Amino acid sequence: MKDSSIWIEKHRPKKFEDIIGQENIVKRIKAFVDSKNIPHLLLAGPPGVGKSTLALVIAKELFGEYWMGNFVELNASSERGINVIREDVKNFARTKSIGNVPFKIILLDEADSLTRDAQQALRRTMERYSNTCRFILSANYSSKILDPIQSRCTIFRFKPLEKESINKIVDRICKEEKLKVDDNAREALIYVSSGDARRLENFMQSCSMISNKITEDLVYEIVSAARPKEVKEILELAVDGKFANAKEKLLDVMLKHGLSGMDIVKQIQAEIWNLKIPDGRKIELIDKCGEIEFRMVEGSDEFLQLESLIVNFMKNDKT
Amino acid sequence: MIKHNPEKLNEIVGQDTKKILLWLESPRKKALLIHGPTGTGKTSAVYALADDKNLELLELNSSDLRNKEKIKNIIGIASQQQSLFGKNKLILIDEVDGISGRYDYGGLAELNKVIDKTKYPIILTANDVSDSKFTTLRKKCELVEFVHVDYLKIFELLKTICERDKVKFDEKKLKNIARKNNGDVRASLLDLRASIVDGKVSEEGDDREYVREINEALKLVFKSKDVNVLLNAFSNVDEDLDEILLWLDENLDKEYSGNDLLKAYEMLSRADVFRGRIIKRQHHRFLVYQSALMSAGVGLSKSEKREGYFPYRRSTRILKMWIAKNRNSKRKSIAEKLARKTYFSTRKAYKEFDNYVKFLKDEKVASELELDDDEIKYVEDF
Repeated sequence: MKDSSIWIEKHRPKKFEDIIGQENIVKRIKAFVDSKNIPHLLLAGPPGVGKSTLALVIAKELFGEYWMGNFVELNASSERGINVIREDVKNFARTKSIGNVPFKIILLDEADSLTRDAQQALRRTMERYSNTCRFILSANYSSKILDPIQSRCTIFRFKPLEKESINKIVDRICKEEKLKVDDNAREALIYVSSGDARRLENFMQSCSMISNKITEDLVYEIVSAARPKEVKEILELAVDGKFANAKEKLLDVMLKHGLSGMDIVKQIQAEIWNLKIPDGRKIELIDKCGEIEFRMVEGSDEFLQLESLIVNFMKNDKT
Repeated sequence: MIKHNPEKLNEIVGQDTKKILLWLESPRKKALLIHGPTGTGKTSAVYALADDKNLELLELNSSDLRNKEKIKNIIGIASQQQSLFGKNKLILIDEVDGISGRYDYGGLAELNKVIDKTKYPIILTANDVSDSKFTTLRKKCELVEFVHVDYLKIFELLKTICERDKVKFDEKKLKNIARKNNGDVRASLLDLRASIVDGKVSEEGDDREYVREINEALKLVFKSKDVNVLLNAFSNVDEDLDEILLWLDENLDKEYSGNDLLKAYEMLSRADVFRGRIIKRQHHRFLVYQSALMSAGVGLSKSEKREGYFPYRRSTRILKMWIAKNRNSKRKSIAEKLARKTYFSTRKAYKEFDNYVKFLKDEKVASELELDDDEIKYVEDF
């Protein structure tokens, strides 16, 4: 098959030996695969640390040339709902596996985004097809997975990639893509990717579109297209009493990036602590922020609710 | 005030009403079921028929609870008893497709029984009775279909009414009203009534007039502190509260500042919570609170009024949001394509769009993802 032009695909490890980081997990899973049998797996951890990659490697190593017929990936967060997923699982699971391994593998991505009810349904589905199928669930938080499902799975907890691992990935990509990265740029890449290999590779490919010599400035130029700063600016405008400007910018940011009111309120909540205002005020604002998040759930107009939050950031006569 | 209540069956516009008369005059065993789109004259036809034939009309419509007990006690009994005034009776059950499975439990089954036993004619109306739960009912009824009314017929009707009531009109405007209501006579009549100002048909949904009214209303809210004035501020505005909420939001920070602005936004925020509850729970009584918070709540939030007045502005936010939503649908479809190729969740691919949008400009990547021309353009403009 032709190599993908998208780096996160092109440079995705294909064998256990290629996987960088997560050494302990890889070792244990390789032992399962060598015995030609695996239990249901729950792979928990932050994005971009190799959960899906590991699932793919398991399938390739187990099934060899037949891996595509014996492996399917379903995304639990897609809007299709649990019923569709159940249907898909059923159709996939009821035909026999190809080759000499007696089961197939279903990768259920973002299993923690399933509701309780959906997870209950999933649990029954897992039971019904456990003879012919192994499930690999991936999740950011294992605590959001129901206990009865957890107890049926062997759980592996992934950590954000360490600096050393990120360095190795940078080296590998530089070599294969003929890029030059100086030390400062390397530090910058490590900083902005915060242990997420997918982000790292996306950043590197974006940089490479501009130059094959990656510099610190270039990295930050690419990253500055990304957001958090803008929410901070909105809050600072409000603190300075420029409500009309804050309001205008709020709408711009939401529309430009396609953000929901909920996305923004989360960022505001995180950003309050970084503002130059007395700590006592910060805690008042946090309380207000929580109240507005609650009203957003109950109310109808997210933008109006955000405005009524932001107006609180202005210095008022009470204080 | 414009009125059009057909008193004779043949005044119903654009429908074949002969079948109804035939049914009434024949020795009948079945009930009559009139079905068809909203505003085509189903209920009006029944009223006109009762008028025409001097029948006492007994009506059970969708605002009544229509469970088994109710139908048995009201219609069941009435369909057996002699009328109080010695007149013959006609029983109308309006909007049978609105009989709810949950709240009107057993209602349909009881209705079927009543039809079997009744001594008086029963007419039912409905928008749509194709659902299988109406199978039995359909068998017990003679069906008459009402159809969308041709806009020229509606136009003729509007014209007749204007001439009768000595309202000046321009044919083009009447035709516009008729055309935009898609064969709905009732909606056309309502629109005609709304567009009559000073004895003549004005511009369609006269925008200037509306802006003037809403400016007056906003002025009351922003300048008055008299609670009685405030509570009545919106009574002259012929528009729903949702639109007024947007106007208030758009103009609030031009009138109020500091603590007043803070308080007023708190009121709007709470008003919106009630609005959300109305939408989610269909509990329309909350309108009272939404309205009070928007008028008196905002009005009483000021410590002093700002002097001077300027025309208030209409909010363009909803329009901007709509445009952006269309634009962002490209972003979403691109994210979906990338997610499918790379075992990435669509949601995360959408959120982290900024991180990879640059390399989507690479032709090889674009063709691998099978981006279409619109999507490529979106990426290039980003």
